[in-house]
Amino acid sequence: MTAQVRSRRAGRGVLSLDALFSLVPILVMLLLVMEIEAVSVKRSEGASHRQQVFDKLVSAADYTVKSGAVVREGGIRYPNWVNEKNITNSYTDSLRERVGLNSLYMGFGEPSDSSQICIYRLVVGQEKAIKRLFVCGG
Amino acid sequence: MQSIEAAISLLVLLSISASVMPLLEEQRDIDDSLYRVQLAEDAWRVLYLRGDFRDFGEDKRGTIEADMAEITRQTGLCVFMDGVQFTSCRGNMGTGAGQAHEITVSLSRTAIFNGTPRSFAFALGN
Repeated sequence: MTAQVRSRRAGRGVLSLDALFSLVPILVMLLLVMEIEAVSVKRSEGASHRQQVFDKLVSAADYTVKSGAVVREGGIRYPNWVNEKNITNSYTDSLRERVGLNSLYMGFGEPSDSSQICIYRLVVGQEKAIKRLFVCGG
Repeated sequence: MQSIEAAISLLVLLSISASVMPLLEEQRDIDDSLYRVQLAEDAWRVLYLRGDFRDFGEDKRGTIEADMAEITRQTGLCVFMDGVQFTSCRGNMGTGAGQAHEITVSLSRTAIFNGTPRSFAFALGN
């Protein structure tokens, strides 16, 4: 083996090593970009789901305080004057199905389950006392 | 020379990471603008249902401010009627800097006050 051939082979080795070291940061960057993309997609899906649930709760609560569970006297309905007796299990179940939620809670008492998204509306009860009507779901 | 290239690559990588990571960290808040308007409408409606606007005038200040205080106690939100200066929270209320309470939603309302129609802003704030 001549000295010229040996020198050429050594040169190729150095080139390969250079290429290898260049590839490592490129791969790391690609992995980073893919990871960021995955996390970003997951987060926007979560945020979009939360917003959808929130909007459905707002709609369900609005229907309830304006029509669904309000006091009616002589054919007149009184928005925000809520009769709690109208908020039965069958009422919340049918509303849950109509708005497409997995779970729905409605009541004057604050729910203990903090995992759900909750909103409240200001209403008066039967005796005209100021109350919060909680509407929670997921 | 190669060390300089490596250092530059590392700096670029770190700066990209540093600029992208905060974007991932920040949580997108739920848009509740319509809900806040509904809450303000609720507060108005609740006062109405309790008869606070019957013979509405300066004489009713005690009753109305007591109901407003009850709303504030339950919700943590200040209620403010601009023009007649009824409020459940002491201190200035507004949208600019330096206000003790920031108005988050405001409704225009007209009511008979001391026998005269009067327009005012009915507002909820923090």
